[in-house]
Amino acid sequence: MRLLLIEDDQDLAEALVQGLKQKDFLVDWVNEGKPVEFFSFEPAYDLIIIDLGLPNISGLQVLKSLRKANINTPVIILTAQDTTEDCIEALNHGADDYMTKPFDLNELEARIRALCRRISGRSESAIHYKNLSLDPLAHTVSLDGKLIYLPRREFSLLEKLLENTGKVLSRDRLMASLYNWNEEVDSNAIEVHIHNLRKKLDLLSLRTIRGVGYLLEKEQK
Amino acid sequence: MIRSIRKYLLVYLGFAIGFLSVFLIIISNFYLDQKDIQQHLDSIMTISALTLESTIDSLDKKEIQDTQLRFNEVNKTLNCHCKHIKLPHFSSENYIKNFNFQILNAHGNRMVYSPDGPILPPRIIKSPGFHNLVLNHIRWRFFVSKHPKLNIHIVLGEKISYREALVNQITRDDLLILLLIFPVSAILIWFIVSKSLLPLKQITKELKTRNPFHLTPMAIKNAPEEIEPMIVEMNQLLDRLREGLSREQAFAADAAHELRTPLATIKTLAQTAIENDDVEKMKMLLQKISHNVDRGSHVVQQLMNMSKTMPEALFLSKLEKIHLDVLVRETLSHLTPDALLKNIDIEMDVADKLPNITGNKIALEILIRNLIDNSIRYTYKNTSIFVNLYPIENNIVLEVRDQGPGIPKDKQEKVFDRFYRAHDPKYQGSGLGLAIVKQIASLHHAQITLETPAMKKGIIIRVFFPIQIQKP
Repeated sequence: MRLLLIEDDQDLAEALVQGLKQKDFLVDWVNEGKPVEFFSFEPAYDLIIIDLGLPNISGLQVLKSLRKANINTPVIILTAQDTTEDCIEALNHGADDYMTKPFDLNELEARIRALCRRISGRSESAIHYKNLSLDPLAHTVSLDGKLIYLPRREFSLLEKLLENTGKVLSRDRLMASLYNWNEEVDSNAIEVHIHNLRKKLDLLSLRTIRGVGYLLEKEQK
Repeated sequence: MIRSIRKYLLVYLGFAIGFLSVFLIIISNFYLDQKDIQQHLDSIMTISALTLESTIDSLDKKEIQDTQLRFNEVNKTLNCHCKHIKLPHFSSENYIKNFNFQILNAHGNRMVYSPDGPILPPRIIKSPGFHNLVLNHIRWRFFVSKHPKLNIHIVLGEKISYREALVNQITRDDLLILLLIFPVSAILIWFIVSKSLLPLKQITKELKTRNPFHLTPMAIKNAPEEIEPMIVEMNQLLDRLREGLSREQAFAADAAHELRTPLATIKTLAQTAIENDDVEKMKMLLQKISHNVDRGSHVVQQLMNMSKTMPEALFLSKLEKIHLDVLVRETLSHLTPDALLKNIDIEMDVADKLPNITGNKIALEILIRNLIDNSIRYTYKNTSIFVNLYPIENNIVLEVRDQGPGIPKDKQEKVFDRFYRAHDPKYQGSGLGLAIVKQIASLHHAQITLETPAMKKGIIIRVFFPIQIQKP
């Protein structure tokens, strides 16, 4: 899962990037509120974490402009305030959750996952598809009850596909959800990952739509 | 010692009124009333004598004898009358015994007289007017008048002891009535005092509703003149309390706010480290934790400085003569190691014969340290910081100039606000340094100016300390 962190404090931001990376999130960090155009080019974020106390444009301002531009990515607010007023205002302006500093990293992870789950319409953290099941929390994939090891990126790719069954996902979008801005990526990296997934999981329903992207067919009930 | 104003007034006013009135009544009865009564009785005596005198036209022997006989019967007649009209206080005998009259002929022989009347010495009879006499151990007052045609004397007498008894009786009656003054005045005093103490009750009621969340001033309208100054003073106290309290609240909120970010960072780093098996990575994370603890400590230190130099705190500590140059040198010696780390030169220049200022040493030390510490923090490596002390007019100027990024014009106003950071977050100050400087400066009635040098490199901060400093 790919997250955007808007946080002005360098130490905290670095700690979060590292901590969340260890929990298999891909985190991009910006140190101040950016104009909303910045986000319209980056549709691939699963969730945005905004610190309320940003120096130039306040976190609330960023949130408002996001929602005004119809960007509905889930948002978690970080606040250092003791009072809940700011949080209530943020929630009223489209934030989905808030955490007060200092927070528990595991709780933050749980809240991020819960929000993403709710967005994809699931109530359980594990995703089941035919004889396949993926548990994002335990970071495991099992086929017919047998655990199968997947490297981090292949796991993320599978998760993304499972969350969007029946939808065509473009190559660019998949790329964006797997790699940071500054990572050097082979042009055929996605193809390689898709190939591996098909081989390891025997995924016949994962189809290539030429010139557009990939589609995991909806499960026939 | 009576602690209640009401009881105090009741007791003391009661006694004062009581004793004063008893005293005055006794005086007035014995001296003034007695005079009035004497006059009154004297005039009755005079009128009676004159009336008697005018009723005697001739000195017919037979008539006189008859008259004398009737007089002898008066006692009996009076007794009869007494049964019907009941004279108060004195029995009829007393009345008879206390008064007498006699009519004497030219030779001083009694012609008509009260049966018990004493015999008067001739010299008294010969001189008309009032006489006080002691006859047979009884004090008498006599009035003697002389009939102008018949050459007879009419004498009226009254026992002085009777007169005194009358006066005493009146005094006693007055005193009896006076006894009523005590309870009545007590009740009146109680009511009056209660009424006049009502404003105090109201103030108490008003004050009772005050608490740290409700410190609005009390209404002065309709307050009595004597209580108004107290209310004014109390309102000022409430004002100061409110100010101090809101400063404290803001401070506590700011402190919590400012410490939460380093704490969040430390927690995140620690949790990341716990779940990490790589020793090298763990070491790196621990290093970062340690760095963030330092950062938190710096914030705590600055918060303590801020709280130490709040007006309420500084008001309590003493003022002393301060040699700014000595203080600057001392502070510089503490900060030199930090400067050396960045290879920064600190040049200090002090004008000759610098006058003293009066101020709080601890606060001024914090001010100087914050200014120079800021410069070291923000100035570029391998540059110089200039610290100058010189007098201008009635001020001593502390000038600190660095060669850092400077402060843009539009941000210069804001840098003195608490937790405002003009610079990139990478500088990691507490956001309190200049706010503390400003707080201390204003306590010493000092002005602060910021100036961007002509070369647009760095910033010059000047603090103008007035030489004649007022008490903060």
